Amino acid sequence: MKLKKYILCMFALAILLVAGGCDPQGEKQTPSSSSSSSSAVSSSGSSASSSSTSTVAKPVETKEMTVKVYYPNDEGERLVAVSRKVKLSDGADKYTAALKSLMEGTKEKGQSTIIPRQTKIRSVKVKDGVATVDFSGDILKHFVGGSTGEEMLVGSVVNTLTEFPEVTSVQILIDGKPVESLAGHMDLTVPIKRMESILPK
Amino acid sequence: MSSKLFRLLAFVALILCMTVSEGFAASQPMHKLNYFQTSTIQKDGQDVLLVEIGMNKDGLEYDVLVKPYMQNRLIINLQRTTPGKIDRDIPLKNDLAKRVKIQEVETGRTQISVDLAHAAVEGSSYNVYTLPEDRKAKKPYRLVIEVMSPASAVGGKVEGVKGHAIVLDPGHGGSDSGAVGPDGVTEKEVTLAVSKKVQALLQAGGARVIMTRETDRDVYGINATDTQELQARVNVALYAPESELFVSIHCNAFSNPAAHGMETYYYDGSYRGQRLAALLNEELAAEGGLFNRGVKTANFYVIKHTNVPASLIELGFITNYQEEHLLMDDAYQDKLALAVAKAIGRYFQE
Repeated sequence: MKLKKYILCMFALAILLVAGGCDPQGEKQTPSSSSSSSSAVSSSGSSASSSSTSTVAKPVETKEMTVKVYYPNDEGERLVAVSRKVKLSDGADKYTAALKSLMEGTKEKGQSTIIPRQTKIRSVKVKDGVATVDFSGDILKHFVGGSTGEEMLVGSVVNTLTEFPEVTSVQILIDGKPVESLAGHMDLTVPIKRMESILPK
Repeated sequence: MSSKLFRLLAFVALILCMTVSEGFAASQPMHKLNYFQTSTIQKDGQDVLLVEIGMNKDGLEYDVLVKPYMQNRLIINLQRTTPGKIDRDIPLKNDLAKRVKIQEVETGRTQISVDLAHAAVEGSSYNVYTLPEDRKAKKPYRLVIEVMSPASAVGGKVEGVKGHAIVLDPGHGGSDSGAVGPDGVTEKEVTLAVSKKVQALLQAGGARVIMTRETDRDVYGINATDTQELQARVNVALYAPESELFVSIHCNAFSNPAAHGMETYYYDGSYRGQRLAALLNEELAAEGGLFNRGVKTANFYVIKHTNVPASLIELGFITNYQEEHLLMDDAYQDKLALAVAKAIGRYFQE
């Protein structure tokens, strides 16, 4: 009984630490839309805490890393690479951190936000070179659509994740289910490789 | 006690009322056809055939339909109408329509069928409406069928398509509105309107056109998965072995309303798809005049999975306020349709 309580406490602490570690760290170019992605934080937080139950006594370490995220330009013709610093709490994975940073959006000139603000990350898993990203259904509900909208949305996710050399392609899930298309143009039934054609030449 | 009785009475009264009104409707005098005249008039410099079918009284209820397997036949069902004493089979000597048939298909329902020289496309090759009695001209209340050459409705002639079979795919439809503009214009209505105009132009040029949809509907069905819906469109080409090209017509959208312009897509590695996309791009740029975003490749389902050379075209951005309004403009749609049809003609000719 006591042990259960103790683990619960550690859970809460881990969540607080991860959430706290991510929020104030947001750099100037990120608007504060992190409240919408708070569930993503807690889900990655819980996975962090479960793995840290064995090293229960140690304080949670945070380390910083630089990731590259991609935003479409204003015309939706190509993606622009942006460097972001993200803080990784011990056990939190860099893929989720990079995606979360991408999904905070941009207010920079010449860059547009394409992933709907309401979207949450349910999970990110990497296996055999394929990153499987599970988004909440909000990504469809609030999506503008269009061939360009779809290319840019998928491209920003795929190219952000394939920045990690061990990731060669990306499979998108929504609410845990494989998706076939986002707006009825792209064929997403197979994992998507890095989309070079929409990167600056 | 009395309330129960009252209810019973009310019920009986209701039944009586229903029976009487039904009886009344059935005994309402029928429309009786009593006038038939054809004439050719000039409208915007083009010949228009007028078929006028008059009757004894106004208030005609009718519906118009075209069967998918018999696209040259225009069928008009007249409710509560008997054919009267006019001829039942009238051959026409003209370039627009071949014959008119009138028959009472069941008691009180009369069907008029008109065999057109072209595919029946509303607003493009025919119009149907009623006109009130005209005492001066000695014409009774009448149903008017206007028949015109489809090319003239859009304005323009297309060379090089004769004898070829083309699949046109108006993007989205039915439960899927596609992208929606700031003023509420839906992608599905624009793609259908433009596709129908392309259809009319190609058919006038002697091509056979297979449409993935001709109305505002899902091609597979509602509640279909994306793959089912997209594969259903691909299947239209697959199941028409004579088809030679597949053109999917779309409007673009982006989160930033600044995004604008036209572009055409092909599936990477398809040489003939690339050629088709390039010709479409060239003609759309010349006729439509929007910013040209170029000829591109993309991993789009319909161009990836079709077995014939295919292109997906983005006419303009529905999320851009100015282009949204252009895309809804009938005259602008005519230009786009002409561009698409011309490009298809060039594909076969060059």
